[in-house]
Amino acid sequence: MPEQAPLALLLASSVHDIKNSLGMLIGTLEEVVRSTPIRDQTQRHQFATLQGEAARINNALMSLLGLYRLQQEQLPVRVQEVFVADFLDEQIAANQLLFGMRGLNVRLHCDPQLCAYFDPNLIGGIINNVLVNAAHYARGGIVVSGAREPDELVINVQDDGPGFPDKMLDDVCNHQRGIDFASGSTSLGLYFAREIAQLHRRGHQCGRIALSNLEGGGGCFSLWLP
Amino acid sequence: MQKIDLIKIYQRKTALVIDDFPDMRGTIRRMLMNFGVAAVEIAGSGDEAIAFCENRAFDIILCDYNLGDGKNGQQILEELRYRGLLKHTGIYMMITAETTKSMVFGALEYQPDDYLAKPFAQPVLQKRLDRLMLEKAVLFDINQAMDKQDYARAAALCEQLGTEAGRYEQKSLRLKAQCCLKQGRIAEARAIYERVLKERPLDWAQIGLGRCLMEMGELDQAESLFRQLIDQKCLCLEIYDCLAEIQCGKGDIFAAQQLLEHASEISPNAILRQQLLAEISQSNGDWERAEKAHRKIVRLGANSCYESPENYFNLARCIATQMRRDDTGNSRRLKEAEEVLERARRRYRDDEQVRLQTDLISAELRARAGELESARHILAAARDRIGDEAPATAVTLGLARAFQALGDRATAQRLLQELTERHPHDEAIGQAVDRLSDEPLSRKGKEEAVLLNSQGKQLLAAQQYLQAIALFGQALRHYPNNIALKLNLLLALVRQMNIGGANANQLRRCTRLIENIPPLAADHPLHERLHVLWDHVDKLSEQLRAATENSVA
Repeated sequence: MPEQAPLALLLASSVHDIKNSLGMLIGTLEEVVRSTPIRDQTQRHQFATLQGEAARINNALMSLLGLYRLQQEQLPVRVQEVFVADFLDEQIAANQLLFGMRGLNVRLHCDPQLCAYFDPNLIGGIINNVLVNAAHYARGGIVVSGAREPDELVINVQDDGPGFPDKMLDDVCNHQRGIDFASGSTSLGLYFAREIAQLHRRGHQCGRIALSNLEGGGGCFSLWLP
Repeated sequence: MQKIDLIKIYQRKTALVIDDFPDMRGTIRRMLMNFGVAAVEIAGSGDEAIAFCENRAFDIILCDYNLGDGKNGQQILEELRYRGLLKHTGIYMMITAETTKSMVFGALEYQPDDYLAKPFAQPVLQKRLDRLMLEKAVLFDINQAMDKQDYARAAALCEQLGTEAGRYEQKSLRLKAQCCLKQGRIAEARAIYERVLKERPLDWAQIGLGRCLMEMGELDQAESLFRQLIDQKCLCLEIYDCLAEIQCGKGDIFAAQQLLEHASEISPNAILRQQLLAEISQSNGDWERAEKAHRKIVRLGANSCYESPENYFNLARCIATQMRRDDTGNSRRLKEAEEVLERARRRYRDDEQVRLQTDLISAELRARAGELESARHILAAARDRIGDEAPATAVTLGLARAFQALGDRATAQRLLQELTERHPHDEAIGQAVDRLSDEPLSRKGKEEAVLLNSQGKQLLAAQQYLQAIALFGQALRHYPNNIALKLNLLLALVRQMNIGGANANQLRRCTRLIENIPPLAADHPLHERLHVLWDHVDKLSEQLRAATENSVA
């Protein structure tokens, strides 16, 4: 029997190929959507589903690949100066079409001069994942905010959907237990988000994430970076 | 800035998109045209892109990092910058599939303005480009001064911008420090980096500070800083180059070679690093490794700004140096080296100087392989073509090498002597001559040798053998043929092992040194010293072998 390549490596390189194809698919889809006038609500809904699901697959693959690199100690963190408002604005722009199709009103609250230090690629992946997820559940709007708490940057993504199930809130709060993969499809992204947040350190502080439900309904994802 | 203004700005810009996938090129091109860019060119490979840039300067270049088998986006960036084909006032954006170890970040001077991860939506690209255009507008004068290599003015402009820089404050600090370094204003650059690092351990400031420390001779401090960066998994390979330079400074060119080998494994296509690796391996007498590097240089150099007949000559000579008398591998090596020379002849068909040099190397090769008659024949024919006039420096050096290989050291030495006398103030020629000569002939080389000798004697007398090894090891890079120097290094190594015990690494270094000393006639003034040291090395090898066997038993 021929020698077998390690499964993890095989998976990682396949994921990489799939990601490239998916990139082309998303790009073409975007061009089609841009150049096609929407006929009716059904078609609007179909476009939204196409885009939303393609984005979710892409995010899931990105998390998988990221976790694999993390295990192989091949995920470098490039901390640099980032203007938070620009950064968040860009994450929203990346999903502009999706939000438009879903008829969502997305607002950004952030001081344009607010500046922080983190890896914009890695954190961008997390925020994008959260936004696509929020777009899936939100009814009418999403609010993204960035602010400085004394020693940290905090980014919140709030939606007006049904909120997170209790099981998920529990999992993310309980750091000792880790995240239960059986509980739902978003767990992979959250797990990755937590790992990436923790890679951002300053002195004794390190980044963290949290989920909460808002009093008037809706869910909130929070990310703190030192 | 208003959107309408930006459209007007885009309309005046020219752009180049580099990607090996036609679909991707088309998509990005359409995006740029949607922004208003009037002229968008597309290229499918690095060579094609560079050819475009030779004809005109682009304001915006978007380049995929991974371009298949050819040059990657980082290499294209480096070549364009190196050749002045990419202005600092222009934008170079690197498009990446992912950040992994396989992607390598260039030295501080060779970094793109931005990285953009695939897949990206049109509005994301637009926002990035809008912001970069605003930045380039604010920093225009500074970048223009840098393009003119007027670093004093660029630094002064950064200073002037001061707090006005607003959100570009860090960028302008970074540029200022870079300009100060270029001008040798090390203390100023250091102060900037230290100020930034007080707040955050940013990699560009850490590398910059490390460079300052190196310039100031604080090698230990610089080394620990760079080691720290490696621990942080920083992917900037400049770190390894700096560490290698530090090890050279400390005289441990063995360690320097290992560092460069490591960096070359991660990024095998960086030609400047391969050149340094070739040079250092040669200084270490590791001709096999040097040959590998020289082959790489020839291959990578083809059709690039580093293309030079010297690349072929160095490879051929490197192969030749590995020929030993009565070695059965010699005829194979001779054939290989001749093939390399033949490629150089074909490539530079109409260049008589190159053809002369190629023939002289051919004579040298044959002499080393023991084919003395054909060597003399080729040499004589070449000398006929040279005639009575004093030939070009490179040709004279080639003649000297050929005579050395034929065993006529007196003639070789006379040629080198005459060359130095004709160019008493040319340091580059002096260095080249001293590299070939048994003993330094240039004024500077002689002065250094006297100094080196007295410093070395003091260190040996004070039993500071490690320092002596460092001193001689470093000097050998400049005088690789200097026999007395090699013997001094050998002596320091032997004495060190006499007190510290035999050590495999140091013994290997001794063996390499001895292998690289030409056979000395019995009446040669250094003959006896060599053989005394040789005996010591043999004894130490014996000790080590016995010790290893004991520990195994």
